[in-house]
Amino acid sequence: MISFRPSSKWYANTTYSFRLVLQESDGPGVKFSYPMDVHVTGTTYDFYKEENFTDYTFEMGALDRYGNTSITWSNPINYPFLRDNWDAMFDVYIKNVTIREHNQTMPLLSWEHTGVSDDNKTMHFRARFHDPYMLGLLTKKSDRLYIHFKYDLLDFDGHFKRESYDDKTYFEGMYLNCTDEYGCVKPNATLSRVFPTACATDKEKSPPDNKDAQFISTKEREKLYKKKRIDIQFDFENTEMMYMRKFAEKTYWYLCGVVVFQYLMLAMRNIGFLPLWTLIEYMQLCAFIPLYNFRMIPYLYDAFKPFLVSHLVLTDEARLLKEFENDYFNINYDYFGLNIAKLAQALALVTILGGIIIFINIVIFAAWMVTPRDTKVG
Amino acid sequence: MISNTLKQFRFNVYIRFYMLSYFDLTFFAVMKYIEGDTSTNLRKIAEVVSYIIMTLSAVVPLFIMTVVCRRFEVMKIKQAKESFNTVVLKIDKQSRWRLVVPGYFFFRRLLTACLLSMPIDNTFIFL
Repeated sequence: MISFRPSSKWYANTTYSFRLVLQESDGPGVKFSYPMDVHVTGTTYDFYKEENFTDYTFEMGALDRYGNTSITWSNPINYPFLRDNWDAMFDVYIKNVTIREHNQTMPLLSWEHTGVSDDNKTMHFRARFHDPYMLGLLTKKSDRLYIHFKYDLLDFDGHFKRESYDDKTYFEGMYLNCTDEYGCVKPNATLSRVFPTACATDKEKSPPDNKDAQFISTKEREKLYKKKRIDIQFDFENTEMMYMRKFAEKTYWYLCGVVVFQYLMLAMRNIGFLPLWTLIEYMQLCAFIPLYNFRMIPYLYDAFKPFLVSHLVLTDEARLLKEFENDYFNINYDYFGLNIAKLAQALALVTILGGIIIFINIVIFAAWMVTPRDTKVG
Repeated sequence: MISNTLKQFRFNVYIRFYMLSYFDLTFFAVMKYIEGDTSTNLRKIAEVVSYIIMTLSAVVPLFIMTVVCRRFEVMKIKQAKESFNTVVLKIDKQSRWRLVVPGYFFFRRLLTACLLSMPIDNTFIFL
């Protein structure tokens, strides 16, 4: 009796054919040959359906005003490997609001790896842009930053290509398997996949699955990117931006000087303050131009600050209601550095000015009361 | 001399001060009202104050205009006009219609304050 005991589930529902040869060991050549079929019962296991794969996809985090962004993988990754091989696996570029006119993506000035989260899933970056003051200025149209996984790395199953002429298995080094029990180890690459859904869709569109197709489809794998809107940027390492920032800060003092100078000249000549009031009134209206056009260069706010009258006396740090220092009416006020504490401070200063005027009124009234009417002073 | 200075406080200085601070007061009040956060006592107080300031921002300019309008005939006399020089100087043309000018001063600032307080994604933000 011959017993067959399959040692793996992968033999299920498979027929093995072989030939059984019976031969006398010490006789004169008696030999019989029997064709045999052995069928292993059970249901066929489909590798891609039955196995538990570790699928890797990523999502992109928002880009902040300093160019910081991140991508978060669905499973832990080998950060040093990805960092060192980033350029071979990813393209990072900008599509700005005029992309339809020139049909060309824009490169970044720099793309810096700034770390990884403790769970080895989130990679942090800092992007720097050419002409950062040109980005994020429109509300209804967006400049966008793309992180694009290269299309030619993966096969139809979501594995890195393992062709003799196109071997990408080196990039399997990005996988990492972390458990509480064993810590982080390199996992079985066969059970790890990257963007399997997109790869499977390409498979369906390609021969032999799609009999009408003549060529292998890479359409879905070409779309393995994530994008985020680039909002207004504050890159003070940029020469122009830093220059304009410094210029705006100096303008604040020049304009303050103009107001004070005009006040002194009018007071000395004793011809009334009407020109000064008119100047201040119009300054007040001009001042909110950058706030009106919310996307207008907030780093030049200092140049407009003197026009805001109550903002004229705003300090860089709030002196009152410090608990509201991180509280902003909306993101635009955050861009302008106008937190609730500063606005409240401006309001408080207006109130104090009102109090001072009342106080002076009382003092002058008291002086008028005690001064004889028939003198020159009275 | 002191009596002349004292005369300025009735009411030119106060009107001028109000005109200068009108925009900021209205703007802060409208902004606080739209923000609408009353989670703490301080914020509740700020909310009440913003209601008061907003009401005053609508009422006070009308009140000033009404006073000037009612005293228009009297103000043809130079001495009577002096107390309201800040407002009246711009309408010194013997016509009540000239009151539109200081009215426009307040209206423009009120409108600006409201527009600036609009939420960032509001369609009318481009007005």
